[in-house]
Amino acid sequence: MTKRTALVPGAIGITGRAIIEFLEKDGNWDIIGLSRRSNNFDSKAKFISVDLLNKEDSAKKIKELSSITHVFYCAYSPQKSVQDEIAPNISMLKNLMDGLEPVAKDLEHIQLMHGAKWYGSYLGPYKTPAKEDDPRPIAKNFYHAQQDWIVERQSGKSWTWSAVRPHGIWGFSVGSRMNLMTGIVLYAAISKHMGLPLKWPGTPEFYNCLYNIIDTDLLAEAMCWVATTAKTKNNAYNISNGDFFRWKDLWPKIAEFFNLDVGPIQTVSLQTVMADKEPIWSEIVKNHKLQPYTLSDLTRWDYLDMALSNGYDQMSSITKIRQAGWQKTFDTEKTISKQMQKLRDSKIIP
Amino acid sequence: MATALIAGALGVVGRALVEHLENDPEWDVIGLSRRSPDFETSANFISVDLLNLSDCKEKLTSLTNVSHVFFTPYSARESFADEVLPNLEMLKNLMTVIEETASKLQHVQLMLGAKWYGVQFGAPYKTPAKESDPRHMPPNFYYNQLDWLTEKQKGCKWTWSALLPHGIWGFSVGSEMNMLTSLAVYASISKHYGIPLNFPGNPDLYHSVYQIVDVSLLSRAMVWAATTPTAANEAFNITNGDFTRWCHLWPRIADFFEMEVGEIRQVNLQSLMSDKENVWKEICDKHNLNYYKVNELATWRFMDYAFNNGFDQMSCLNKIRKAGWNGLLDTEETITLQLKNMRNQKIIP
Repeated sequence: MTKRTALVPGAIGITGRAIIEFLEKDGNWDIIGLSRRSNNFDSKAKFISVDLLNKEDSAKKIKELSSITHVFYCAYSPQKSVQDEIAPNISMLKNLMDGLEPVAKDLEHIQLMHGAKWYGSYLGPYKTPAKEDDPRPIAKNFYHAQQDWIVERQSGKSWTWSAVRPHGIWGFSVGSRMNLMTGIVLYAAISKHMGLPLKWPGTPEFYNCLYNIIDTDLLAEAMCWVATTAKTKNNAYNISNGDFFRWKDLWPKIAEFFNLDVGPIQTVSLQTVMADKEPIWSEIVKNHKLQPYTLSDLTRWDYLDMALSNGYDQMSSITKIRQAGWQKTFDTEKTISKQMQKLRDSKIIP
Repeated sequence: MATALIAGALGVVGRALVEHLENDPEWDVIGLSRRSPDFETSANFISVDLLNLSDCKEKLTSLTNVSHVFFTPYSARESFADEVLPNLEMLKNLMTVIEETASKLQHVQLMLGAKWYGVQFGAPYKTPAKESDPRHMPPNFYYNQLDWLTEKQKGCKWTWSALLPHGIWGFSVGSEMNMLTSLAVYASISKHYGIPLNFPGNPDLYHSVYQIVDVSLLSRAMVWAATTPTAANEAFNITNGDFTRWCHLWPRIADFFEMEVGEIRQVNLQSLMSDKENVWKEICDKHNLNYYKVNELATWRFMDYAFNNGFDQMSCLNKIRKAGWNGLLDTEETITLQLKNMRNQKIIP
């Protein structure tokens, strides 16, 4: 097989990191990561520091990337509101493509990393299980804008596009905005240190609702599969572990991993109650000889508050990707501790 | 060359399997039922009462070639407790004869269902349900059948499997449980009266998560489980492979009948439909249908139970997928296929 070259904008976020680690193991890829921050994990990939929001900076650095065959676009510029996110996130994608298309003559595919927010999952109850072609919510977000933009841009081109739409993402990253797992395990580690049982911090309704997550190892494999194998290109695909669960059934498994009792439900704003926990965390780090990250290095509590405060089923149908040939399934209850164990092994958590 | 012995061959599952295998050159098909078939088939049908051991001995002792048993009959009783003995007895009687007779027996498959998880008690249960979940408090004849067969198989050359489908969607005549034919008759009569397609079940069910399995897919899964080594001596949930809600399906069913979607109006179908034989006959005459009585097609008692369950009903398919099963149907996209079959067969207008 001829060697492929992957470009991963957003390289140290949760999904960018996952795809880089996957492609490295695969061995058939040259990998170039783009990020504003410098790299914070072990990797043989080439990292380029670039601000995609800056047209000149992007143009200068992307000019050199003539070997790119596949783009895994994982970059995300968070803003104060969903509406405000549209313009910068379109600019970043546009700056990238403006720079890349003229030089990357072998470009085959660009993949957008989206999610269930496509369906308005953050707005309130929505049609579930959600399907890719369901009518859009009335509130447009940058996923819709980016997909519309790439569809337009691709017209008449030899390269193809795809978009993947995971929901809860379960895996490791440092300081990325939307990381479900890191926040939960830090909350658990601090609960343990304080002698508390593992209380459910979300709403009582959400504890009983249906939810779906994807392990980042599986997500990366699916991303690569969609970009290189899926029968149907120029399409968006939901992706998850392949099953559904309720937090009430998963929470005991997380408690078990930390050797904690399952506590009662206590709904709190994590942003509020974790605000004064840096000293406790640094004590935990010292006691267990962990890597010297602060809580704010590792997680963003506002995302977790948003993710756990809903009270309705959140389900994505993955029939479409299965019909395209994808056959992998992870049993969520059986695999939930794998990524947590990785965190423990790399001395991030006790 | 394999020989399938399908017990309960006129039920919704048995009939589908007969039709699936009868044209497959790899299989000989023998169907067992008390009744004789109401449809043309090249399968060899034997009329036998499985509750009667001497009848079994007399009629089944000649079946020396049977390699695969698909056990699908169901003897309905007034209570769950009363169902245990007869349903276990049918299995025992059949196996007593077949084990003696069929020296090439390879596999015995039980057709169970999501009642394994206690859905029949009409209250929420742990969902998505997994095969490894703790059992509910008995009685449940599925437990008796599976425990008995597991014990019986020890030390034998043949293997067993069990399938736990839910929301079976396919055609049959004179069954105890048939959602498709019941809804088809209900919709046709509603249309005849010029009323919209009201949802006759529990309002909570309309919005709850639900799942069905089309018998065409179920038949394939049965053969797969009966012939795949990784599936031997295991029980598996089986559905179309996705989840849906009646609120997503109902407009498609209404659309098929060219009807308006009506209101949610929970009714007791047993009493509401008890006087509809005449109007159904009128409908059949008007549209030149192959006439079956309402009570041969519709199973109102079952519907009143199934449509009163106002909670999520979900089976997890991780186990069967892990064993290698890749079958999948998009429920919303395929829900009207079986209705179309019924229309093509001139069963409904």
